[in-house]
Amino acid sequence: MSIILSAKNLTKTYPGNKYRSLINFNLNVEKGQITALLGESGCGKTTALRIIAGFESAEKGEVIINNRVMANDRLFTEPNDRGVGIVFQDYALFPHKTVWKNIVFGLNKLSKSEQQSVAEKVLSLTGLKGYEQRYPHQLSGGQRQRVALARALAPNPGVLLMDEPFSNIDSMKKNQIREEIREILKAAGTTVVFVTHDTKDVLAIADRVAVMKEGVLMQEGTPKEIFNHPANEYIAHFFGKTNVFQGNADENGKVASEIGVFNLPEGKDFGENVSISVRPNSFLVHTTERRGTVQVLVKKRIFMGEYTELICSIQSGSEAGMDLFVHVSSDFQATNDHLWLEVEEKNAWLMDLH
Amino acid sequence: MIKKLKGFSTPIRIRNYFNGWMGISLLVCLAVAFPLMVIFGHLFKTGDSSWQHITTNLLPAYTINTLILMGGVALLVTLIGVSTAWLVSMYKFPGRRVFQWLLVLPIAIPAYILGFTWVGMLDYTSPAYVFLRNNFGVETGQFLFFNILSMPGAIIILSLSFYPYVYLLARTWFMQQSASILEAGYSLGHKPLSVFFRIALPLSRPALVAGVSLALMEVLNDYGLVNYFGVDTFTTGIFSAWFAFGSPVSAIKLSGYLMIFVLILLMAERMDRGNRRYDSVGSQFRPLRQKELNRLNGFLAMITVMLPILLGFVLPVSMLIYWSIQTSHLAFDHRFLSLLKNSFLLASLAALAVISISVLIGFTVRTFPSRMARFMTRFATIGYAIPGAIIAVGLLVPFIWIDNQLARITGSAGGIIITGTWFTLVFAYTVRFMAVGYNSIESVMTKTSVSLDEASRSLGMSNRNTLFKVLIPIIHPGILAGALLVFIDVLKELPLTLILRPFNFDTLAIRAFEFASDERVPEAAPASLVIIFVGLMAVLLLRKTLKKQGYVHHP
Repeated sequence: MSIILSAKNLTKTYPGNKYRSLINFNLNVEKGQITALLGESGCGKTTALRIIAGFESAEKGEVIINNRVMANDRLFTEPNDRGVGIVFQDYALFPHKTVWKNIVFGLNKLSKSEQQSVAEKVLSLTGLKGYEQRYPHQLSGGQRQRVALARALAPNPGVLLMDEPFSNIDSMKKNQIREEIREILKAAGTTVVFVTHDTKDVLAIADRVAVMKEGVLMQEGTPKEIFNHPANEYIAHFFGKTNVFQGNADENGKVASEIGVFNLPEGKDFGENVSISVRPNSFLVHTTERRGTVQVLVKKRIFMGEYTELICSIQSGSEAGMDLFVHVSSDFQATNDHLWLEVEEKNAWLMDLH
Repeated sequence: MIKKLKGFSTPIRIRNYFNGWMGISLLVCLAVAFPLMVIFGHLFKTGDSSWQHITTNLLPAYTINTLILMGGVALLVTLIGVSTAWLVSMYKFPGRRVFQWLLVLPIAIPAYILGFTWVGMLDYTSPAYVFLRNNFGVETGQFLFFNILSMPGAIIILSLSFYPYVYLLARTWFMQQSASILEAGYSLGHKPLSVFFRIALPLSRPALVAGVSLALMEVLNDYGLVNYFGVDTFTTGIFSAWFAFGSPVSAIKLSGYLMIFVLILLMAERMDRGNRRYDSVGSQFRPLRQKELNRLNGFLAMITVMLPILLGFVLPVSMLIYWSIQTSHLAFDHRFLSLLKNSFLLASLAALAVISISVLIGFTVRTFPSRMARFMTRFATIGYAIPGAIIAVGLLVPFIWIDNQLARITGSAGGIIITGTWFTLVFAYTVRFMAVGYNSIESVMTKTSVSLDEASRSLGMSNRNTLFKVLIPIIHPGILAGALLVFIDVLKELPLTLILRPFNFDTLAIRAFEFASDERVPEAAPASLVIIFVGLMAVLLLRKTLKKQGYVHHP
């Protein structure tokens, strides 16, 4: 696949700030892919997006779109010449223009009949037929978002950027709207980079994800890879609940911990201290004592619908007092206060401490 | 679908500072600040013989009078403004809702009009004096009660005219305070008055400082009233240096000294604005609930609040209406029409100039934000603090010089090419009222999300198209409001117009002022009423914005 967008070594410090908002940021996006920039607020993800769009300039680094250098330390291409489409967090629909006028706004270089056909096409793609003459304030939040999407897609941008696309959507409707948006984007075959702080957005629509913290890209991969194999504790916690044990690696590549002894993966070396992440649903739960298990006391049972969450605490050993989240199926009947937990090698993910 | 990419790139480091938008904006800012630079350039030049005379014989009186006037007005506007604001924000009494808007009305009457109206209402032939003299034998000399043509008279009239600045800001401030702060005071055993002096007043200091300094800037700007009342201040000094002594150098040097007063005021206000950390507005905000007053106290509160409205608006306007009817056969002739035409045309031109420049600068700062850009806007809007007479002198001196040079080159005798033209007047108004227009445009711009501009640019629009196709259509209500405010201010303006007007050229304000100065006060009434009527539109506009946002951006 061909690379459509590539950001190289982007570094940015906002005037008046002591710390850098973006540090040596690298990203390659392939044609037709949906890539998420994930992180907490202030992690630099929006800065990266704005530099790609051309609303900010980086002090170092390069932005290449469709094999054209858009910005480096000598050149800067204005946003209106970058061929980049943007869907803003607040949608930024022009309040004084109808849906139709909003959509043809970026098509002013085309003839009237071409505008007509392009607009018709994106209207039907986004399911907005019949709303052409409405004004933005007469639309629902989800419709406004689709207008913003249609407007950005109409000029057929090389890359579509979306800033927190689902943050203004009612939580009840989020799942449905994520699905709709993904279908529209895939049908249009658009290359997309979007920014979010919500892992659910990532899992629902992204092909690839880049996790950021304090201006640094920490890990990049498919959502599944990152969920299953987070590079560090921060990312492990970011992607849902997990239990992190401390382990000690010996020279033979064995990592010993309260929850068992595991082998370091080939070619990995994290130093002496290794973190072991175990997802709550990855435990084998026993009601009687066995070898290679850790004994826990069940403190709380919380019925969650499809599963039951047990909050357990380890009673003895180096992790004594640590609380564990254990998910068991809801028909799990055992009522005893003591359980013994075991983790299979494949479900224990060894990673860097930080 | 289309594919279009233009291959035009700009070197990045300089693009935020050196582009067409910044360049033009900077030039405009320099032009606007030009008169001020002239004044400061002349500050240390040696004066002529008139200057010797002025410094030894007149300057001490100018200084003392100006200081007394400022001190007196500061005290009185604080007293009127804060007490009325406190009453309408804290207590329920009959008519409170109406009064809280009526209290703003005196701002619609220029001080000089209020001044000569009151003189006309109290002099020997006034209806009130005649009535009291004939029926009760009241005889208090030339004027009823006391000699109003005096320093105390000037202080009272100026305060009646300018207290709304303090009132408006104090009221907004009180309204923004969370009720719990004051309730905390009550619960700790303090009586209402003690809460007022120990909590509310110290809390409202920023609003007070801002309001009083606005009022004092107006005092320094005033020429019509102090001249009419015979109080010699710096402003009247500038006029007599220019017109009586024929000494432009002295006028400029006096302007320079007056600027020192202005700068002190500006600094006081800026410094106070800088450390404003008294805000309690937050998620815990609970609006004040007005306390019920008993009948006697309610009545007293009503009287207190009504007094400034009566003295500052209702009585004088009634009198002006009465005079207008009396003199209507004299007033409304073809000359009045030409006055109207002159005034309205001038005001429209100035409004157009101010608004175009404001939009240009506002958009530039918005699109290329930088410290330099922000500094630039401060520079361009400094005129609101500078008395009109100073701006006039600062413009006239270099313009006369240019005219003389042009006359020498062309060999013509009279050097009136740009001085005494509409251009000079509009230029000066633009300098003086830039802040009025800019503030209303800036406030609508900040309320308009920048992502709209960014969306437009990402859809292939240039900055210019973004401005004209997206931003202006969205913010046009603010543009109109700003234009109207400038229009009204120009209509009222006196000192600047008096100095810069073309020969034999009159406006409504000048006509009113001249009639009054010729002791033909009733004949000044019709022109005054037109000015007040247009000024009332500003009050209405203000009320609308106040209601919508709960704060003031231009008092």
